[in-house]
Amino acid sequence: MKNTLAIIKPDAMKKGHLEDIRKDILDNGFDIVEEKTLNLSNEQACSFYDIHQDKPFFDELVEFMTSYECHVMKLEKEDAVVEWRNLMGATDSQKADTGTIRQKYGTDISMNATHGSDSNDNAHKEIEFFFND
Amino acid sequence: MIKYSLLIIGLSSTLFSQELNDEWLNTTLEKSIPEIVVVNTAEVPNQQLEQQKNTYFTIQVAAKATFADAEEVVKILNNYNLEAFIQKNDSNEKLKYRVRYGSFLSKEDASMTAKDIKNELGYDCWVDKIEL
Repeated sequence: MKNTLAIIKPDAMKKGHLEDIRKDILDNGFDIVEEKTLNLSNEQACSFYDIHQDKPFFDELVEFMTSYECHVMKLEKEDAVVEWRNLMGATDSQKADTGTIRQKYGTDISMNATHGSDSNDNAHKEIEFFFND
Repeated sequence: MIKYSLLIIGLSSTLFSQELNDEWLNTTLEKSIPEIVVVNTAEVPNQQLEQQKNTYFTIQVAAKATFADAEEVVKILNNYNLEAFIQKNDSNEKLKYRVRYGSFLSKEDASMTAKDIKNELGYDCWVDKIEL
């Protein structure tokens, strides 16, 4: 699949890293097909992270994602899901490889700067969720 | 009584003549009228209409470290009749001042203008959709 969904999360947006992360994305051969800046509502965040509803960190996750604006992007590249996950680095920013986005702009496992779809199926669903018009 | 009537007539005529002669007032008012976009509400479902009210597209032309640099970009855009604005982004010292232009209702219009800016002035600009 050529597309994946990327989100620049509130922690990175608050730190003003929108342009830095966009540049990293473009420099790594992705096309940004669609993008938008928005404040996720509680309802949107709950619905987007529906799969984690039973997890202990769910409330904290929703609170974090609604705390400030996000920048959502539909990315395009050959094998986009894997490529974007490689560029982001490990989920925990403290364990992410040097040079990855999460290592450069994230703080820890929850404030990790970016989100990426974890499979082609989810990429399709997540893109539909944010760009259905 | 006659004195009061004359006074009222006198004041009314003064005000009336001022209204006719105050061209500057008309000009100022005309200039401050925002561009009106006509939407045929009959053809747009309510939900979509509500969404349109809270969504717009803006062009990010550049991001600069200093206000002076950002102002330079604004001046260049102003020379092309593009009234750009500066948005402060306190957290990032390297890219503290964002230069943005416009608030468009359609992505196509914003993209076309962004393309023109890029072709004319060479700025690597992009369109951001803002959902309020």
